[in-house]
Order: sequence, then structure tokens, then C-alpha cells
Amino acid sequence: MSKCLLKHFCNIKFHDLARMANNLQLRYNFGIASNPAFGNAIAIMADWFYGKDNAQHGPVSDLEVRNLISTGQISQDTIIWREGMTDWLPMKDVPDFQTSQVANQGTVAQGTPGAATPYASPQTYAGQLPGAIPTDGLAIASLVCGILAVVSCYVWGLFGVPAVICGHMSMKKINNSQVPIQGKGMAIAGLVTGYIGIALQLFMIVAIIFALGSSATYSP
Amino acid sequence: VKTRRLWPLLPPGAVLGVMYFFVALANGLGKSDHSSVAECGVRNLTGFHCPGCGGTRCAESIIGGDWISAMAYNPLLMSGFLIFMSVSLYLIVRITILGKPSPRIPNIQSKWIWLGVAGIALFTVLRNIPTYPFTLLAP
Repeated sequence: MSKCLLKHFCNIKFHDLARMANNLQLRYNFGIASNPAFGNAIAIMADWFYGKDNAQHGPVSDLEVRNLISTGQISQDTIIWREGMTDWLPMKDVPDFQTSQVANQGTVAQGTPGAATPYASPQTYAGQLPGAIPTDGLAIASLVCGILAVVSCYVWGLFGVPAVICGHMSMKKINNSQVPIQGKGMAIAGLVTGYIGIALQLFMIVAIIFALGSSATYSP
Repeated sequence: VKTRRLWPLLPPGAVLGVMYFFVALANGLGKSDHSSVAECGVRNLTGFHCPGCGGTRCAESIIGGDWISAMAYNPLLMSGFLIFMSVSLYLIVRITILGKPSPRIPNIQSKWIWLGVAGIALFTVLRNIPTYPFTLLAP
């Protein structure tokens, strides 16, 4: 047990050392001093460019980038560049914005062994669990509309049609995607319930037409 | 100049709009003297209460302010309505009034959605059992 713990700590130490060395290397490449406070003072003036939706955006200031991160418009995987950097880097490899993340989540970082350096390990600031496969929003929308379609009297089609549309769009997206996306089961369930809703709607319309045709007093 | 973002007002507005439309539609389909609203086609055909059964009376009670009756007509829809309105109110206060950025939506895991579906299915079965404690769930 104690051996395991020792190994655990050694691994963390080695990991942190490697990270520090990496950061020093990056800072050397940028021409910024290795002192984080000094580095940030320079970074405030820097104009950043970032890639989003297959297009280059910018220049934006350091503060604007922080705003973009906090509002979720760009993520840790968004590539970013400014003058002096040799190449575009994902946000998570750019030290300037990692220090801000640690400052914002100080309580989280303090409890972790990685807090010895100003740079926390990626797990402490990642928005979601590492390795979690995202669920397709369209599949969820399809299933929710499908359930509403089955339970809404008279106007099943009102929710059934969007359920079927979202379901087909989601199925297409999941089947054509290179990366795995969860939600195929939900899309199928949404399609089934959506079609049931549309079938009920058609049945009711036919029933009303017949009722009106036979001029009987009919309460649907 | 801080611009106010008004989109959090849309979902509760849309839901209230759908509820008014629904109640108006049910009354329109009912008898001409408004003595009763239209009966659900599924209920007429199968005789079972679907999870949405009592929804129109529930919506009518919510609009009329009688939220205890609304709970009696359809506990599932009423609970959903209360949760939805609480979340909407939180978003309106946070984003529209205080001007804070919208909270990050966590990656919804599919097991929670399936759990919700199972909950609705269980509710449907229970409210169709014609003995005492379960009749409370029926409209």
C-alpha cells in the first residue's frame, strides 16, 4: 500500500516537472520571462487570434479571450495564436489562460497535488469528465418531443412532426460522424414516439372527416 | 453599454402560450354549451389513462390559479411545470436582470434521460391501477 502511494506521488512529481519544463520551453519560445506574474503583465497587451467554425477570428485582447472562455464561446480545445508563437496551439496548452483558470478555481486547485505549480492538471479545469462521450442534443430533443407527442391529446402532430425531424437529423449526424456520439437509442425512441403521435393525429383527422360526412353528432 | 439579453423570457412565454392554446382548443372541441371539454381520443379508444391524461384540466387549473387541483389532475405535468418555471425564473434573474453569463450546460448523460422515460412509464402503469393509493394519481 505504502509502496503504491509512494509511486503515486513520484508519478505526480514527475508529471509536474515535465509540465513545468514544457511551460518554460513555451515561454522561451514566446520570448516571455518564466515568472508567471511578469508573463501575465505582458500578455494583457497581446492580441490573440483564434479558430472557430473553420474561420480565423481576431485580433482580440487577453480580456476578451477570458470573456469568450467564461461565456463558453471557445473551449479548451479551441486553437489560438498570437505574434511570437511558432504555431497555433489549443487553449489548454497556452499557459496564459491556465493561470487564470487556476485563479478562478482556487478552491479546487488548492486541494490537488498539482497546485504546487501555478498550472493545474487538465482534469481540474476541464468542463466535463475526460473521456465522456457527448450525447447528441438533437436526439434528446427528439425524444422529449416524442414523449410530448404521445401524451398531448388532439394535437399529437404538433410535437410528433418536430420529434420525427429531429430524430432523422440526429440519426444522420450520428451515423456520419467520425467521432463517437451517444444518443442513437434516444433518436430511435424519439422517431417511434413521433410517428405514433403523427399516426394518432391522422387517425383523428380521418375520424372527424367521417363523422362530419355522416353528419352525426361526434365528440372527438 | 451592457445589453440586456431577453431570450430567457421566451421559454416560459412559449409554455404559457401553448397552455392557453390547449385550453382554448379543448373548450372549442367540447360541447357547444361549454358544459364539458372534449374527451381524449386515446382514452375513448383504449380506456386507459395516458401519462398526459388530465393535462387540459391541469392547465386550466394552473391558469385559474388553483394549483392544488392542478396537482390532483396530473401530478407529473404539475411537477414538471413547477420545475420548469423555477429554472426559467433562475435564468431570467441571472441573465436578464443581473446580466451574468449563462451557466454552462453540463454534458447530459443519456442514463438520466432514460431514467426520466422509465419514471413516466412507471407513472403511467401506477395511475391505471384501480385501487386506493394509486387512484390519487388518476385524474
